[in-house]
Amino acid sequence: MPELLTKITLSYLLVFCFGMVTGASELLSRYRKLHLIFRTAPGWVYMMINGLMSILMLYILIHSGVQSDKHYINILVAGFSAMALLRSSFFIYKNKETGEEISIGLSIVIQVFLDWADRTFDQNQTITELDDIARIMDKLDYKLASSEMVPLAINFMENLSDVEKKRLSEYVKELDNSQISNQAKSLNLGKAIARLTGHEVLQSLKNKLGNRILMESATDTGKESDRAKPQGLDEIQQLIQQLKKE
Amino acid sequence: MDNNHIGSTQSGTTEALKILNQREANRLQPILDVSFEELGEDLNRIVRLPGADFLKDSVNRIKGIADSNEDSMLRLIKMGEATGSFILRDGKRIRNDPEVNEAVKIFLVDYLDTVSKTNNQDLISAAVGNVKNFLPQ
Repeated sequence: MPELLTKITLSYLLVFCFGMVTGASELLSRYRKLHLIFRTAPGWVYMMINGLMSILMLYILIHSGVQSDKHYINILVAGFSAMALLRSSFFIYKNKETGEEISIGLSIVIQVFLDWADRTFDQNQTITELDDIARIMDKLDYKLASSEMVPLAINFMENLSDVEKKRLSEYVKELDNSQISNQAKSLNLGKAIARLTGHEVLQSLKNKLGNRILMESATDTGKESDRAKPQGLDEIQQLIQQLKKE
Repeated sequence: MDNNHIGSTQSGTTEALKILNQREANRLQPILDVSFEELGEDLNRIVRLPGADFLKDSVNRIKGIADSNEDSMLRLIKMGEATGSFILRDGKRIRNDPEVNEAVKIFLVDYLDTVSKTNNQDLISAAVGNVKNFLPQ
């Protein structure tokens, strides 16, 4: 009896791991970044749901009396059926007004968590990328950088298609005419170039151009000390004094 | 997550600024949380005054915002709107009751002080406008 219990516990543990691995592999095929999956809550929740569903399927299998004598078969059946059940939809409802298709079934639950993971991973990726681009583009004068870096990037990247080159040039023109700050323009410029060249080439372009594209004065670096003080702070102090005096 | 197209200037910038703003909000959160406690106490003081019955609904509404778990900047924006509307509506009546007037003034001083910590131009302008409406011209 204790040996049987140990076997059952081990089966649950194995089927849980099976479910977790299934979930992880799905996320991995979607995002291709292992560290993102294990460092974020949605990644763990998604894997846990798959693991717990596999345990539930194994429980049903064992208690419905249709289990095989061989434990590994039960584990595989439970694991795969949990995977299939979680991704199943009984029918698809089409919203006539919006044309949106909604799957009715357990897949709707899993989709909520996938959307959550999508958002979180996207945010994480954006933060990392923004940090990297901000570091590279730090202290660059937007106008000098765009006039020097873009032609260089276009000339040196030999595999760029004409469409990509044209898009980049048009995008830079759009940036030139936009009303955003130079800091935001520089970030966008860095991102646009890095999309085609990668971050290493972007860094290399900056290094090669050196001081020629650096800002002469740090007026738009985004540093705390350089930020313009908002108007009205003095007025606030006056109002506070007036309120206290009255 | 298509990273292969050159996105529009607007959406790219909005995303980038959203993150920069989020960082700023994260930096400010602990500083403002202390201020929100003070503001909550100020509002409690107003509500407890017998002459402030006419302000109870407005003050409780502001207290609800101050005590909520929302982002600090969002709380301040909402508080500013609610404060502005009760000042416009009840400003004169408040000034007629010295005790209520005193309690509201303490709240407004802390509110201005809190807003000034954010360095946010929109919030500062709105707060100055609100309090100017309260003070006699």
